[in-house]
Amino acid sequence: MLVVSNLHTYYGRIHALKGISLHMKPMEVVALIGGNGAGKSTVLKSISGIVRSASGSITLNGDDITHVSPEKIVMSGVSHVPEGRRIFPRLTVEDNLLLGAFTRKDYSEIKKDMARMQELFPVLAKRRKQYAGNLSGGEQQMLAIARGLMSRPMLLLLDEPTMGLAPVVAKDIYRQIRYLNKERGLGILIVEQNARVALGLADRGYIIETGRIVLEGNASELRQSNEIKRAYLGKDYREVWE
Amino acid sequence: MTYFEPILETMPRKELDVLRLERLQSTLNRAYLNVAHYRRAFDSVNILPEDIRSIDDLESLPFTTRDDVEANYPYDMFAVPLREVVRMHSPSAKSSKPVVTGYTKNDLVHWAKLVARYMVAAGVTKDDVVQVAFRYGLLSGGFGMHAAAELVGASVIPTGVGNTAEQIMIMQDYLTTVLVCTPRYALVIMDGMKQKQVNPKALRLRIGVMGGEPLSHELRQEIESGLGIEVFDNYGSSVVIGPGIAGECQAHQGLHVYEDYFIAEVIDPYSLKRLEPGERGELVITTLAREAYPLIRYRTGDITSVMKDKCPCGRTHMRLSGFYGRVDNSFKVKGVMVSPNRIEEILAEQGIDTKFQARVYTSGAREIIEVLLEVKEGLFFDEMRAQETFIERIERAMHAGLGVRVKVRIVPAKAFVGKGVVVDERL
Repeated sequence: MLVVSNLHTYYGRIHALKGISLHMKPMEVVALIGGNGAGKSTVLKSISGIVRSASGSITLNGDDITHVSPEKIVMSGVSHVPEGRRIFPRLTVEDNLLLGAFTRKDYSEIKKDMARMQELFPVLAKRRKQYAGNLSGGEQQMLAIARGLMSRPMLLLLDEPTMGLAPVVAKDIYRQIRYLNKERGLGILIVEQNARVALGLADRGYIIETGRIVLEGNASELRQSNEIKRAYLGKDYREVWE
Repeated sequence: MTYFEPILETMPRKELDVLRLERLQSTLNRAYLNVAHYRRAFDSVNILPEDIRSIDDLESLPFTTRDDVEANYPYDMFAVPLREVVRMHSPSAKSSKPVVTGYTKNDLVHWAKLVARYMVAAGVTKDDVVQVAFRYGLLSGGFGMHAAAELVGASVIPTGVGNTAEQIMIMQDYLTTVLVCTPRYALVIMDGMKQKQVNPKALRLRIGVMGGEPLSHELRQEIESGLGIEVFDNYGSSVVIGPGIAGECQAHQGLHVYEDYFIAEVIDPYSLKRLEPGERGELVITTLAREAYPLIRYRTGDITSVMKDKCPCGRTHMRLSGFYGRVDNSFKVKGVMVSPNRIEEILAEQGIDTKFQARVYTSGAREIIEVLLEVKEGLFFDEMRAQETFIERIERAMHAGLGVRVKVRIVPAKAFVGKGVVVDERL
């Protein structure tokens, strides 16, 4: 459904993406893995139209969305949950959710979706009148995802959803992501530094190094690759025999 | 029709091409980052991996030749550190310089799946008893076929090549249904059966999984009628991966190249231009997911042509029409590649610079290579004894240098058959 080909993106004179090609099928979970500054987030930002790419193309279900505005891209079914949550701390949980539906006009449906989000993330229901800034990190992440879902996307772009969260909270987030994919049929493109977790969740993965994709494959195969283990599963990773 | 990997084997062309481009680009990136040879090769034509924006752009990259591969012996063509390599194989020596290729864990998994696609296309199932009479060892053939047959779930008998009497006994007693061997070894087996008065039609054999050398129409017919089996051709190259690059399906209309894993081009070996479907030329292979040993535009030296029309079997991958020998006239005997250049080298090492001709023929089921040397001054012996010693010395050197036994004769020029350096009188 999503086909990115030969994408080049610059930040000033920095050539951030050097010919990225990748694709996603409907309802697939795909992981983008790479170190700091490899270009993972830039790929997501290019897809959602936040960053303009210099050349290359992005098509969604056959339609070219390369130079389409971010809000039109949201309307065509792509929702971006940015790194660091980026919720509005001075707004209530409820208002944050409402903002996620800013491209929609079907008010009665929006109301139903608000209820569904609170069902999906019960903690948000409990805190719906509170300022989002008072939520814990994990709760803020749930809010960010829920806000992303309010536009009724078919493709969710998740940027480091568990960064800075306690492992037990991260686990909960991942459980929700898995649910969204399996039960709601959402396609998910997830960016992660933690390759172990991301590949545990994903069907396929791409490894990015300095703006280039250097490996592509089934998640189960990528997990096998010792190169990846060493490079992205943490510095201290060692096989038992080493 | 059954497929081993239906999604990949019957993938709509458009999707397949998206996948191929992604894999090509990641292969180019890895090769450029990790293999000094490729970095030099790309730099020499001023091309960066990201300049390749389509499969067709591949044409702007330089070829990789056997010489390149040899020059980087042992490990300089590897794209991963040695600790990631779990297997090594070595293609048969075509020259005095050896070659070694490596496989990561994933490479081995992929390889087995590729060969399994071909076996399933040939009709092999888990109910089959598969006798692998391919050489095990440094050559990749035996191991490649073995792993695939196990993956399909068949019962595998790793007999290896040779000891024909025992092969026939096993075939009878173990109720072998699938024979994996080179076409010529199938002839040896047929001959052995004749001598032992074994009726091949009384055996359970039903499928011949063949490869390792060109399979002509006549050869196929002889094996099919002689053993009462259906023969399926497959193409492999030990430098690239082993068997499993292309394989025939039940339509018997050429060999499907597993295009999600390889890009196959056919070029004119002299002008180096890409040829159209139907035109015969040299096969050039680019790997798309090989981790340890990526190859970019590797000139295989094998002659074939491309078929792009639809195959009734439903696979969307294009086909190669068949194989018609080698660009450099080399030939295979008992699974070992013999090249006239190598013969010339060995003769030169022995201080002989006379004209020669290599003749390959069969006597019964045995294949014989004869190297004819043109008699001339310095290659003439008054004494029978001296000539015999000389010939023995050359034959020993040939055996050591080629890996197969060779008969040497000194003859007048008029005894040469035709003009070629190689005369293959086998079927």
